[in-house]
Amino acid sequence: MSGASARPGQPGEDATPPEPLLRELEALAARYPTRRGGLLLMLHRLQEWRGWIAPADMRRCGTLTGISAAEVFSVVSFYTMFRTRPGARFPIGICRNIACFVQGSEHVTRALSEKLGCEPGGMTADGRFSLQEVECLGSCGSGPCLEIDSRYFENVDAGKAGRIVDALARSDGDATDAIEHAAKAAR
Amino acid sequence: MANYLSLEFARSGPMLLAEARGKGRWATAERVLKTMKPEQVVDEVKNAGLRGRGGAWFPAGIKWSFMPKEPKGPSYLVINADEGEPGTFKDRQIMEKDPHLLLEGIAIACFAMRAETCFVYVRGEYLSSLVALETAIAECEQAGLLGDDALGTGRRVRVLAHRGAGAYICGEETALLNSLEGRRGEPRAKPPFPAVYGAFGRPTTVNNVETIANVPFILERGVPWFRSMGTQGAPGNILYGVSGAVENPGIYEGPLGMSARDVIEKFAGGVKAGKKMRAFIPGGASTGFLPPGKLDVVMDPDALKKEGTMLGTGGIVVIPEEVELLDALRVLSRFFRHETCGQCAPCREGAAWSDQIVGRFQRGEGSGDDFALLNDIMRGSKQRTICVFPEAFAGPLGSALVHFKGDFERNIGPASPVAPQGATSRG
Amino acid sequence: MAELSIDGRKVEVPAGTNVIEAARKLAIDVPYYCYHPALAPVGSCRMCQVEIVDPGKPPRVVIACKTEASQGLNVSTTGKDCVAARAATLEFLLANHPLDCPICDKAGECDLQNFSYKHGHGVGRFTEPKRQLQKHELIGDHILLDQERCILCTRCVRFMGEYAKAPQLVVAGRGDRNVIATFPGERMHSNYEGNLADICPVGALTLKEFRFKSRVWDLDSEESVCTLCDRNCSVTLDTKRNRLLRARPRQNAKVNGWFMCDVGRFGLLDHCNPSGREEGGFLKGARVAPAEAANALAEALLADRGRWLVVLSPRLNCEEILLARAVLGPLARALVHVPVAAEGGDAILFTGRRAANQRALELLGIEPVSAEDLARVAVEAATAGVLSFDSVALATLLGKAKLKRAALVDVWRRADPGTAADAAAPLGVEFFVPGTLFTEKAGSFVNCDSRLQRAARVQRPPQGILGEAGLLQELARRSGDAHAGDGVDPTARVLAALGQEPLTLLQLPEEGLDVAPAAPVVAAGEARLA
Repeated sequence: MSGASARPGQPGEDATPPEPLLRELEALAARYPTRRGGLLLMLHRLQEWRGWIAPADMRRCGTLTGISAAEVFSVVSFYTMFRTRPGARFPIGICRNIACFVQGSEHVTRALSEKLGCEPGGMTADGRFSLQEVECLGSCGSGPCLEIDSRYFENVDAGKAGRIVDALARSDGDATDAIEHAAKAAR
Repeated sequence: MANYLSLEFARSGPMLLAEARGKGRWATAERVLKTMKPEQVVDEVKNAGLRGRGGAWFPAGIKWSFMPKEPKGPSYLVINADEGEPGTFKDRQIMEKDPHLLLEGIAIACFAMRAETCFVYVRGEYLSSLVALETAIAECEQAGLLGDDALGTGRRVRVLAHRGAGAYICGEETALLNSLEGRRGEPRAKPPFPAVYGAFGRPTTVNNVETIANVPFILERGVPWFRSMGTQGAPGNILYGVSGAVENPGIYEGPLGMSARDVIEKFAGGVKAGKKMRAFIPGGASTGFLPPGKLDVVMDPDALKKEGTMLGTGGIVVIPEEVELLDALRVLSRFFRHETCGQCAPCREGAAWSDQIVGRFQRGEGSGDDFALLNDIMRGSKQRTICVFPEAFAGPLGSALVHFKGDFERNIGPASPVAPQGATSRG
Repeated sequence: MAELSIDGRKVEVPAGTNVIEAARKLAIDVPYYCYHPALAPVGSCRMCQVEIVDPGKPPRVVIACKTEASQGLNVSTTGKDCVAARAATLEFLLANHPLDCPICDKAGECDLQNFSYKHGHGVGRFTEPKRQLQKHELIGDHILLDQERCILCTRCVRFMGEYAKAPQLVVAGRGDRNVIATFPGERMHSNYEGNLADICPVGALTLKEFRFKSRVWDLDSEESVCTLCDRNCSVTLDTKRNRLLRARPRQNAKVNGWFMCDVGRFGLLDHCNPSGREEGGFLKGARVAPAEAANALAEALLADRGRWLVVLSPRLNCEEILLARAVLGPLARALVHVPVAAEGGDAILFTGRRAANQRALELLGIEPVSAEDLARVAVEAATAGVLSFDSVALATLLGKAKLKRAALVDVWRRADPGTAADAAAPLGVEFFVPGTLFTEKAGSFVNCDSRLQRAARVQRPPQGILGEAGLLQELARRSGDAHAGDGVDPTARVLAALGQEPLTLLQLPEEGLDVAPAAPVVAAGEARLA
């Protein structure tokens, strides 16, 4: 899968979580009255590490929480934020809900779509960016709102969105650092 | 009347513990835990008439009184910070700017309900809120405000921040509990109610962030002070959200009972660029659309009920004239279709079907028969499912049909052929 | 107990009974999909809506599956609000349903079809493009999933978790993207999969083995039991043109509840439609007519009276065992059986003891012997030969001892060379008389918990095969036994022998009869071998 290699430094599909992460997963399961309570946080952690949730991650969570892998899959598939396929290095989400819509989020989406050369729901050929319209991010007072890996970019217009993408397109280091850098650049 | 909830909202990051204590945070909790009895706290909150700010406006003190007085085993407080109602962004301000206010309220509420553990369910997208909250919790544990010997009282108050993963329905309290337990966020059939069988099968109360943020002030300043604000039936201040096409969108604290017009004009500077308003949403997406002629409605749960809508979360969204109502409606119908959990047939199918029909009107392909059909979809699903999600998707749809029927009528297309899709000429 | 009123009729049920079951007692059908008496209710399909009528208040529409009967509750299943609510639910469920009944195996026993006639609109208003999803995908060893037909009642999900203890089937997705699914790329495995096709109220889960085999209305259905282990699950056997096409569990609270295992369900198909079945008799390796083989065997038994060792089989029904006891008992040196041990059973229904009527052998006093003892006695001078009604037992014996004379009466299939049964091939024994399947004769079986049930005759044996009873009656005639032809119902005779009221086969209750003896069983004759 081309997307899997799109995030340099991100572990591959078959990689095993490092020891500290495994200990963290165990601690999360132990934190709740039932081990299953830790499931959502465990999945978040695994997704942060691998970039997506692989079948092996679901099996591991099943073992750690005492439920079947299929039940973990059922939970994963319910929540919008969990990805079961490798994603782009910078997954861009644009709020399409009412407050952002009224403030012109569609224009931002269209501008980004043209700039990146990919339709909403798609990924750029180099796997660096993906573009997705998302539902309300709770940033209604500062819309349109754009989100990259849970980092919000607020009061975005086509120009600002373009500057964010430019900054990210130049970055080669750690994705989180790059996103923070882009946030500064866009101001 | 003086504001109290939003005093720290102008800062750029969370107020840390040292500064927060300087501003009086935690002093009330300390006094309450050391000098009061749990039932006295419940009575204060009951007498204050504090109602739940999550959208249902159920009296908080009465909710608290359902919890067992002599619990056999753990009881839980769960904070609903799954702020997902489009047009709503207030709880985020509290968590990101003044997390100790929430934590202080939690400590008092846990004490009042004899709960030793509180889970704060933060919506997955609110990473900043989660980080601010986790930092504040760590500070409190370090300082002995929370933990096994909270505030030196020998009582245990543990606060655990939990993270959702993107599902509007988890704002429904029993869906939230399932999600907290690591399950799909599907609402539970009631009874049993959470106070009997809640999180992890234990007695549980679920409260909204803003509701709990009011609690320290009620106990600090007293019932008469709280009742001096707001309305008879709904005292206190509320965090109004104003978004959409207004000059100054944002969160504004004001007493319950203001008119929507005042909130929009006095707080948010009126419609953006002096444009005309097509419609406004009074309290979040599920409360539906009202025409500008209704701007003088009073932002009070009972008053808006009489208008056939709800106060909801108090998140006002202004739709300008340049936006077609059907386009705005489609945004919401698509949203509700995306967010129904899908367990109950009428809601799963009704949300999807009505979205498809709205889509046809949006494209100018509506049909005269669709009015009856849309009403039947709402009638066949409202009050016919495990939770009130059909009421939520029927909010914008039903109100649009009542107040903006002309927009639909203008978009009835040429009579479509009788044969539905799929029919081909291969005979 | 609580007395409630449904549609103006009063009924008394244990407090806490749900309204669906209370209505069932009055023969009032409340339609439902997600509810199943054997599973925890979820209340999500919304088909079972009824009204609660309180004086002076508008009727309240509730779901019957989650409404408990309470004293004085007044329920209406015909009020206009609940009738409208059910019709609305059906319209929702049918909106995206493919309506491919003409090619659906479920047609004829489909609740979506049935309720649509009874509670639906008759006209669809859904003109949007229908959802397109995965069709007929094999998701287990036997089950095909059609996601488009699915109405997401989640009975299958709950069945796999709650009953089969194998939570491998789940709801994946959210909202109208919800589908039933297994873990990506994996199939489910369970010994209880087949039940999914029964509990699925629509044609979403169907059996690979029954796919396009028959329209259900063309099947002949009879009540029977499964004989693949000694649980004897109550079943309905569906045949067409003398072939068994489907075995389904029949509800029996005393035996199997609502379900049956796959060993039985699919094993029966193989068992009752044996390929390569030997339909002829054999005498010293030469093929003869079955009757000729039976006659020769009868002569040999009578010629060496008191010197043949007879091994009965738990595959025989009670009537055959009793007849064998009466006819062969006085003729044989001993009448024995080799108890079969449990192997690979589970904690649900499958006992792993592939000996359907072993308990009857015990209760009717047939002497149990170990394979070792049998081998020892079989070669003693006092033993002229061994007649076995069980090819497995005979094969085991032949592996342990060199017999003087051997006779086999059983169903034998040439199709499985190398199996234990193959070792007792007709060519290797002096006498082979072809036996009958349990479905080729009416009779009764006693399960591991001493419950006697009826097994109907649903198939005709191949031309010329007289079966076990044919041989035994011939022997009775020749030895002048009064048993033959006295007109007493064979089942009544079995029940009398078990100390029970002598009901005939047709008089047996549907749930069967507990025939556990008041006192421990003592072998009818003296123990001659042990």
